[in-house]
Amino acid sequence: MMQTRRQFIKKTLTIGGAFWASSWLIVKPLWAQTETLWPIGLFAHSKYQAALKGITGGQALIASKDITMTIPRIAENGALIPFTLSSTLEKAERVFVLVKKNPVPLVARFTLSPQVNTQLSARLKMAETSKVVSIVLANGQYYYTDKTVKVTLGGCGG
Amino acid sequence: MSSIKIRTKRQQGTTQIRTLIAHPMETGLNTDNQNQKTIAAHFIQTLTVRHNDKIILTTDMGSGISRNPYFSFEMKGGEPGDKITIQWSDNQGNRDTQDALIS
Repeated sequence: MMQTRRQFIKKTLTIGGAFWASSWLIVKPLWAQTETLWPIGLFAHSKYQAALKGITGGQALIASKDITMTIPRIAENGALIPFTLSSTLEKAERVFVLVKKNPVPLVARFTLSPQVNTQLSARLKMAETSKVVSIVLANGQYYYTDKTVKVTLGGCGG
Repeated sequence: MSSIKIRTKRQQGTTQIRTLIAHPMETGLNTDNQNQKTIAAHFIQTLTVRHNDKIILTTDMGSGISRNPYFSFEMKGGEPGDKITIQWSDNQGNRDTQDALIS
């Protein structure tokens, strides 16, 4: 479809205006002011749903049996939770690890080159009993698996 | 003394890379018991793993990773003498790099 000059100018102004407005609306926290490629936007969310939307852009998650997450069912110390993830999904590009009830739900984002296998370990912090969600981006689809980890800070074994 | 320890182990067709980094990973939410002041956030933001100077994996993390972070990765292939480089940078502008050779 041909665009008239008027339509073109209108569109340009709308898009440009939106960019300009958004740059003013976002108040950057102090740690965001260092110059890195770190995805500030993804880690800025404090709510799980918002964080998820930031990752997938609203695309639906697909539950997958091809992702295996090894994590304790009951953790006595929320400051150190061993976490292992392995997946047999082909062409995995990214792995996201989220803890639903953490102050910052997104814990880590792994960007994998084809030279590495989807076989990762890390140690997480958890504020309280919550679901841990692992998302694998493969072939443009978001696959996930989740598990509940019970955190007993009192150490009574709940 | 580098803050990064790297261990590599060759397995059948793959190489396991394990790393342990000395870092406080402060969330910025904790208070100091001595003076009741909030401890400033101080955590690693990006970790890069290179194999013979080619990036094979990057990790972007928030403060949800434990103090003195441990990671393990699995790389396809890998020959004795190959160089593995791990680099991190944190939110206060600190950074560190360490090389290791696959044995």
